[in-house]
Amino acid sequence: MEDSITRRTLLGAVGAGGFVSIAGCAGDSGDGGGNDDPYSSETKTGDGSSTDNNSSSGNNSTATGGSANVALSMDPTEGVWQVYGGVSPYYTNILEPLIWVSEEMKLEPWLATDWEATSDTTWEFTLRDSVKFHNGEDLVAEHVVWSFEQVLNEWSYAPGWLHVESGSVTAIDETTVEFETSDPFPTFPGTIAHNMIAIQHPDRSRENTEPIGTGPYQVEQRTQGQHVRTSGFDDYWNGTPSLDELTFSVITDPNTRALSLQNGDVDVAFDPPKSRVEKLDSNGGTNVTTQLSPGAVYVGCNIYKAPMDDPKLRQALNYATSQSDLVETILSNIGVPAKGPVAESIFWSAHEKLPAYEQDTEKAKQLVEESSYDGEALQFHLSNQQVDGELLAQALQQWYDEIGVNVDIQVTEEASFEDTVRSGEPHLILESSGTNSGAADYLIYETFHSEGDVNERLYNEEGTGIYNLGEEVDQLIQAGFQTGDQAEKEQKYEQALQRIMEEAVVVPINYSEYIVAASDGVSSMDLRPIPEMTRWTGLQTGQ
Amino acid sequence: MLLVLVGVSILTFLLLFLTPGDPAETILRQQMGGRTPSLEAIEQFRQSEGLNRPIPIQYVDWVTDVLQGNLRESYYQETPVSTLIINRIPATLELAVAGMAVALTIAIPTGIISAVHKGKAPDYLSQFAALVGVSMPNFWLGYILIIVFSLQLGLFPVAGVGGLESLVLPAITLGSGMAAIVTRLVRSSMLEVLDEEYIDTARSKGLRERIVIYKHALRNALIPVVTIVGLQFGYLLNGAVIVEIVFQRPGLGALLIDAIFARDYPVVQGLVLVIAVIFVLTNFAVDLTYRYIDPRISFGGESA
Amino acid sequence: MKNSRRLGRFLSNRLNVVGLLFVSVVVLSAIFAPVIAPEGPNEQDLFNRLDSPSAEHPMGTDQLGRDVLSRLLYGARISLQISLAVVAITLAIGTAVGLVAGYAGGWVDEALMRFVDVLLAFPGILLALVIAGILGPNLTNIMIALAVVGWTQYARIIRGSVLSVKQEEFVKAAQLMGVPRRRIVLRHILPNVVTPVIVLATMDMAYVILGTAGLSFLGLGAQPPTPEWGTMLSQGRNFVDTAWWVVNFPGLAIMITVLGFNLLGDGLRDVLDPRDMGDVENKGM
Repeated sequence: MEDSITRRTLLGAVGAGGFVSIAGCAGDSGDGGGNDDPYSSETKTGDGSSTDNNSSSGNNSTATGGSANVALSMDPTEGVWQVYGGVSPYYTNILEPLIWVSEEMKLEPWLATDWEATSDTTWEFTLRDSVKFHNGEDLVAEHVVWSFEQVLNEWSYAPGWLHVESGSVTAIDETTVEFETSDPFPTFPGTIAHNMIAIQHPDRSRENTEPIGTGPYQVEQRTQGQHVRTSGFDDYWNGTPSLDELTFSVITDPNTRALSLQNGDVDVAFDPPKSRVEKLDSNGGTNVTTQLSPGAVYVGCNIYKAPMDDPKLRQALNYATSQSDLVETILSNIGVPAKGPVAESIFWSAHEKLPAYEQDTEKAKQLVEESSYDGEALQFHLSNQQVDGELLAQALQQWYDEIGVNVDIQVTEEASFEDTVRSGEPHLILESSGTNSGAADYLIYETFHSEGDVNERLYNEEGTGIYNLGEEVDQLIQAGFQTGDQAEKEQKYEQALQRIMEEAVVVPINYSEYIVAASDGVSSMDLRPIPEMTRWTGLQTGQ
Repeated sequence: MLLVLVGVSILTFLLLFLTPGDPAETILRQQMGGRTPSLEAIEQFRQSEGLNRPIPIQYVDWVTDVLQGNLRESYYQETPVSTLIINRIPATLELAVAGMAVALTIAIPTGIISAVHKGKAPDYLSQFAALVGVSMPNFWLGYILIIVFSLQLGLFPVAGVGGLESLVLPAITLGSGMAAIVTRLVRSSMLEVLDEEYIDTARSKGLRERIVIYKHALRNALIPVVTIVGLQFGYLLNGAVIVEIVFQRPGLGALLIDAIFARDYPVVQGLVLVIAVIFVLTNFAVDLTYRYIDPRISFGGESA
Repeated sequence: MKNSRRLGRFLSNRLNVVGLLFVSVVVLSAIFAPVIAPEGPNEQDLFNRLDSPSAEHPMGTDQLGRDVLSRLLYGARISLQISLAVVAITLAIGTAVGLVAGYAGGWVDEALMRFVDVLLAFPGILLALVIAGILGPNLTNIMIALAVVGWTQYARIIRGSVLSVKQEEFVKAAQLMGVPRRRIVLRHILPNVVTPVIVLATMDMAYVILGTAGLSFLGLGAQPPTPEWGTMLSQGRNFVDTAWWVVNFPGLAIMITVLGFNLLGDGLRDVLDPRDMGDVENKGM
């Protein structure tokens, strides 16, 4: 299929709008490598002032007015986020965290202009001046403390996730907040660069459930299970929102979502089905943008389950696979052929340095011959939520069949899938990874470290695991995780990933791109690798 | 009647606990944006939701709450399950009523034509036409309707709720699936009435009276139809599940599916109970109507 | 004899002939799939995906470059297999429960019927989801799920019929003469309830095919690469206006089959039992 997608057209336009790199990274733009250390404890970031205008509308004082409707696959009124008054902080920009995540997956000073580690376990954050809440009050340190307490008290997992206990967030003065982590946690700033760690005003009590945030749009009305209607907030600290009204609607079915856009019911639709992309792009009236995300798709081999414990078999599966064929055909050229399990957009992904398994059926057959594989059917599990998962699995099944390896595909619904995977039952698992925050470290830690969440249970109970190669890789990951030095982190993680690929623990498929379709009039959509962090301030509908 | 509700709730409980997919893990993963939650977090969740306790005790606790009018809160939201359900009822009710209206609009004329012209071409054609609707998987029909009436003709919005125009396509999708059953009923009911002697008498007396009698016949024929149709309301929910997903209508069907996939047990339990109550009540109402219309009908001592 | 008259009456209705024709086409496709199908159902050709219908691929190719016609032909086997199996299971369970309840009466009847009520008041979709969840979604488990949901109506109908037949003089006579219960049931009651059940079973063939498609839509269909129609339709739904052949041919296949069984069921009812099914059903309730 030919690729008729205007890739990243919108992103280009946004880039021109002027993203000013944070100070620490100004020297090296590029693909996220280099010595910048957005995750590091030594981060000296941001000059903290008006130069941070990120969106094109920052310099654009002429608000155009008008309205737009954005169709999401997730429910923006979902009360998962009850802390936020039944409006999801994902996508909506109503609430903002202290740190945002940039186009290059770097930490971008947001409500905090600066942060530094004052000891192994303490962090000091300086807040931005003259940030106003939707109720007109100024943002002060007490609000940050209150917001963190909300999160820490509401979700049992939050203290473990953030490495911060309730009561260890303190306001030093009006604009300085100190965090005390329960153990040395160098990725703390990246971890809280997350929509869920959003800052809000305490007046949002449980009775008065409308959230009060600092974002460019404020809640006007929400209809449960349907949409949130927001209006532009004139006193927004980072430019004037270009629209009078911005609505976020939930349309869970991808096909219906795309059709709604085609019909003009909505102006923007996230994640339309790939099969509709060509139509949406060639059609008059709509166009499609793709954006590289921090996600990756790969087949994980359960290295503790015979015969997958034989590296030869795992390598054979790698040699049987052609990533570029999959991307070119099934994925309609959306996504990038992968060489490893960590997205290229993350600076320590080691993409360049990983061994390449070019498709070589003969070599694969030979490896199967030499391996302990004796003809049994391998159980290949995937979730029915995995976009294009069934197609990928079937293409792989055919290739594996050609090298004499039998595969049974088991598609299950998400909840059962996760259960089965952690039980260590399947031989092969179609995995899809990604991060919603500025800290990607957990992608490698939780998946490949013996004490990572994926392997923990089996490792503790039976001394095995799923994707954990053992001691050597554990130490490398540990070292990378603990260091504040970006170069060292990169080096350790790269070594770990090299071991993982030499041992063929995974069969990489692709680094993910996500798709956003929009009406032709829509412009200045500020997409980020983390789709939930798309900025809407400068959005224009051209009406 | 109460027995049925107790049975339904026990069955729901048992089924949920047999289902693979740990609610603690599933819900925490969802809340954390897809990350695998740690074992401690899972344990904490189980503790706080009482999921570690023996199933019979959990059941008794739940029943105690329900008897006090408390359907509990969703795992995801602090919203009470009863609020969630009440919020979703209008969308489903609207759809069910509109679907039924579509079914009757199709079925009554086709059924009558069919009965009056029994064994002739119009009979065959209308029976066939009525069956086409029920023979299409409803999500396929839904998408075809969207393509034709929304995209090509631009008559209706693709999805959502609000206003009559967003109700038309979902109602056709749901209603056409029922039209065949109702047509069949109208037809046979009409045939039966037309067979009665007084109709023959009327026929022999000439046209004008025949018209009167047809009216009479129709009225008699429709009584069983209406009651049966009432009974079908309970079954509409199964169809509503898919229609609500295709057309993104926030109704009970969509809520049930979401809750099942998300392992939001309080919502599933509460919703199943409410559905069962609706079902039992409609059955009961239909029973009563039957007795009222035709006291001769004996139910063999049975009541729903 | 009576049977040939019935056959004559059956064929005199054109709808019945159409129904018979549709079902025959499906049955023949299923039997001769390997002979007629241009390709194997799972032969992929990634670089010829979504080809529109041509001489080589009369119904085009799907998302993995597989021949849609071949998959449909093999799929006929699966659809028939599923519906036959489900109907057989529901029939067996339903008949057994219905006979026992109807004949035994008393608390046995009461208990069984209350259980049927519980199942009827239970959203079938939840039952199917849970079963598919517990056992893992695949063909066998789809069958089990649909069967568990489906048997209750048979039980009700049969019980209702048994109750009315029980009142008939000849059954009472047999009872008085000391004929064993089992024999009364088998010789006298069963033959009398066969008609509505056959009709219902025929129509159920149609219902099962639709039910399978619905489960596929919810992501609980057959495991890939099984060429099951509902799964093909569900997976192809995104192509409804772009690669119409991927979705509409499976849709038509389902429609024709369902229509066929429905027409057949209607026809059988007219021929086998002049009374309307509605009557029988009412007695069951």
